[in-house]
Amino acid sequence: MKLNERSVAHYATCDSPPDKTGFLFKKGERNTAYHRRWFVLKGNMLFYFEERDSREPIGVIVLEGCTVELCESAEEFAFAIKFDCAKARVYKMAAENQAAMESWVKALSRASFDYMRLVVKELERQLEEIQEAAGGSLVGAGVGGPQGRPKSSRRNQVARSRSGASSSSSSSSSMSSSSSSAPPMSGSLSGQRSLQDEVQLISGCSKENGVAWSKPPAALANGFVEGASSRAPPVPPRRRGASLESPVSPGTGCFSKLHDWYGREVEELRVQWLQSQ
Amino acid sequence: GGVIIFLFHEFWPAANARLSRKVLLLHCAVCVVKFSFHFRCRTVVKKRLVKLVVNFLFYFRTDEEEPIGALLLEQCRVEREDSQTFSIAFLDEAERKYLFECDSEEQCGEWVDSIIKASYEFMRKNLIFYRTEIHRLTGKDPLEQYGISDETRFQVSNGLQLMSRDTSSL
Repeated sequence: MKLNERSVAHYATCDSPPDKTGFLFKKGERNTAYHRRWFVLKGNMLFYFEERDSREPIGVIVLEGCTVELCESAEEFAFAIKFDCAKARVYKMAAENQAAMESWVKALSRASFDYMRLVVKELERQLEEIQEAAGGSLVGAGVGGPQGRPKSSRRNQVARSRSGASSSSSSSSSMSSSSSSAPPMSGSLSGQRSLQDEVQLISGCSKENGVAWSKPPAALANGFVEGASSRAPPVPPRRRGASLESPVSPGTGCFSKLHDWYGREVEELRVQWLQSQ
Repeated sequence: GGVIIFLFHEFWPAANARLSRKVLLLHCAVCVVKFSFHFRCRTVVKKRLVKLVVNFLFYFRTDEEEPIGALLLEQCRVEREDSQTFSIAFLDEAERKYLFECDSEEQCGEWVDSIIKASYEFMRKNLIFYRTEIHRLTGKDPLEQYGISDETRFQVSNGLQLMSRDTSSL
């Protein structure tokens, strides 16, 4: 199955902030010794490199629907990443000490997209409640736009005025540093805007395009208008740190994916791809 | 360099089971246009079934159950090209666009919206915003009750500042 490998590798090494990095021992598939690898966790993707300064990862494990468990092993501080499929490979890992092991297990169990989504929805709900409770008394507390969701609020910060690159889908502009700096707000124009203008901007942009960060500011605002989504039930994310064996989060299905890197030329794959079109 | 082979067959049965709420299933014509520096333009148009699952966009031949490929939707740019067409370009290869033609304007809008939101980075940004905002309004950190307030990914500034971006190029 094809994948946009180069872009995936780019994601691994670009300057978007990793969620966790460190050395771990990974048990090999064919060679069953444990190999020390440099691991980089970004979102729901766990990349591993041969060396810390390797330019490209040698593999990636997609952490959707997996469980992370302690496991018995001759190795100390061992744990395993398991998927819910009989055929799936079990990734056996070992950390260098107890603290590292616990930290990795915690991080990996919470790395799924769904977990993040739950947390976001929960905070979204909380914010709405706060804004509704405050009513109109809070200046700029929210914009009850046509979608009926008070999402954005005014801020004095300059960050607010610069929507652009950061609001667009998963973008980390190559021009600017990694994207998480500015909030995902719709008000993309510099200078002051009335709330009313903002509402227009939000609703207008949500219908159109709204995402290309290279386009003029008006087109960039996006992110916030989740008008379409209905409210998720406020399921608090799993948090009990003590249970290292806990599955990812309630409601997460179990995906199982296996990824291995093979040494093949990207060019070769591209040629194949082109030929198959 | 090295290449990922995405071993997909384990992923798919489980993903199928979750299609009900979380996956948009649309027939799209996929037109892949490759732009090169020499302005040679090669266009291949294929009709593919496209499925969005978490931050992956899978594509299938219309009569097949197993996908033939997937796109990881991180570090990409989604743009509306016209009323019924949108494109995805990856930041490391910005000259190349994957074009998708939808059946209707509305459908196109839905796809653009969904794909924008289908990225972990996007969610992270939202989360940081909500967290900051709630803290601003209430003085409390909403993540504390969940015991996750220290996680790197939830930090407002991961070495990054809440500063304005350079708008001069726009």
